[in-house]
Amino acid sequence: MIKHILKESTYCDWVVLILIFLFSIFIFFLSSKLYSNFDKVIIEVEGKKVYVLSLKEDKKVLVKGPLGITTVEIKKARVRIVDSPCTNKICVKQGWIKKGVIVCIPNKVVVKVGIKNQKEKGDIDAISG
Amino acid sequence: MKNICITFLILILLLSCHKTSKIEKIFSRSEILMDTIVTIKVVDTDENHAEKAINKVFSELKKLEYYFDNFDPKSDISRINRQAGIKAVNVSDDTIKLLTVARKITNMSNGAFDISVGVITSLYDFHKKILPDINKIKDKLSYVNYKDIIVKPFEKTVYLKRKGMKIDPGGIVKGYAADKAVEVLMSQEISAAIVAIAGDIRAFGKKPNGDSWKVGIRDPRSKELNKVFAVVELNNMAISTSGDYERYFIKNGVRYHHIINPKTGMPATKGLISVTVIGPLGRFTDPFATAIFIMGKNKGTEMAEKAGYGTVIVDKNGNIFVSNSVKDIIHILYMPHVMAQAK
Repeated sequence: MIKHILKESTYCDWVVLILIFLFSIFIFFLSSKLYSNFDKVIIEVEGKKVYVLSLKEDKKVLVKGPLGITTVEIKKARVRIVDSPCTNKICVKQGWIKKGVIVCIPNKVVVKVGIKNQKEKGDIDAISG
Repeated sequence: MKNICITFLILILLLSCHKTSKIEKIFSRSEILMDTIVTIKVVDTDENHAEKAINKVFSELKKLEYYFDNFDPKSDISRINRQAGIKAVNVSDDTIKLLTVARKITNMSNGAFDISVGVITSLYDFHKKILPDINKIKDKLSYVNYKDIIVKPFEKTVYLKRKGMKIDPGGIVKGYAADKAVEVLMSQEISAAIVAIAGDIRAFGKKPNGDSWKVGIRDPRSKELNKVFAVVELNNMAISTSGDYERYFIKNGVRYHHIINPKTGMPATKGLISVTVIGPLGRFTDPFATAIFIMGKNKGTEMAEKAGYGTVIVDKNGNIFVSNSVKDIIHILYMPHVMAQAK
């Protein structure tokens, strides 16, 4: 059977097969890039990315903002701000998150978890309220 | 088989040709400014061009923050408040424009929106959950009067007539800033963008896939900050939402929130928990949302509709009211569950 297929196949068949193979590899890399941030913790200070960490690895990091040091903890695939030099500690009170954003406005620190690189069609572009 | 092969090769050729042409993408950046997160998403074919435009917007917004930040002693607003009853203060063009629009909204809302309420709002501390002394509120109420804010556009001065007066432009600054951001982007020949200054958002043009920008309206009683009960398709418009869930505390079963009625000095009690306003300009949607929260559903919606603005209102029972002018662009996902906390 296989010998028969090989015998009957033309040059064009092989070109098509190779192109399909290359296309599959392209799709694989594209999808891995699109969803690569699902298990990432991104920490930004004043709009600049300062850390990209794995959500799977337990860790405590100290982030320097304009007011001082904000302590971010990753544990059991969750993230929280443990300590912050801000007055009201709203970021600390937010507690653990598995997905979403923690923001410390006074110290200009943003912690993002599980945020996609690119919005899918139909996704919301902003939230009012 | 040969036909399939040829078709496939032509397809690949066409796709490669398409790739060499310029493809529109969304370029986005968020920064903490004006005590909130500002996000700008720009549609462009050239990353450098988009970056340059976004940089200009953030420079403009930093300038506005410098003028309007009432916690910065050097800002126009702080200087005006410090010199209340003493002398007129020279201010920027933007401060003149902002106060002029604020006065217009005060007139339209019959005083429900009044930036001279600053003398009262400064008494509240929502983080420490402290309700100000009721007698102190009564004493300070006499200082709330927008007619005592003297704006002289040609001389570029502002004067508060009475010592002790304070203006708080918090209910209009973000909407005004969203408008300015859009002006800057348009001057930079950006064809489509969305600017979100916290919940005050303005958008123009379409996304690269031809869709309208989609803005969710936050569920006023969900603990999840990103949960939305409705989605608005925003075409060359602004949207703002005011709710009793942004800054509040509950004392003796009563919810004390940050939307203060300038006539009583107390949080507004018209039975609403979320007011969204949609229309052409952010400098109107932002203060209208506050004013309607204070005026109530019927009077508030009437004022907004008369000015060409639509509303989405949620009352304390979770009922949603959508005004006629925006019915076609709203998709209600569900009714917010309010009973547990609706005090």
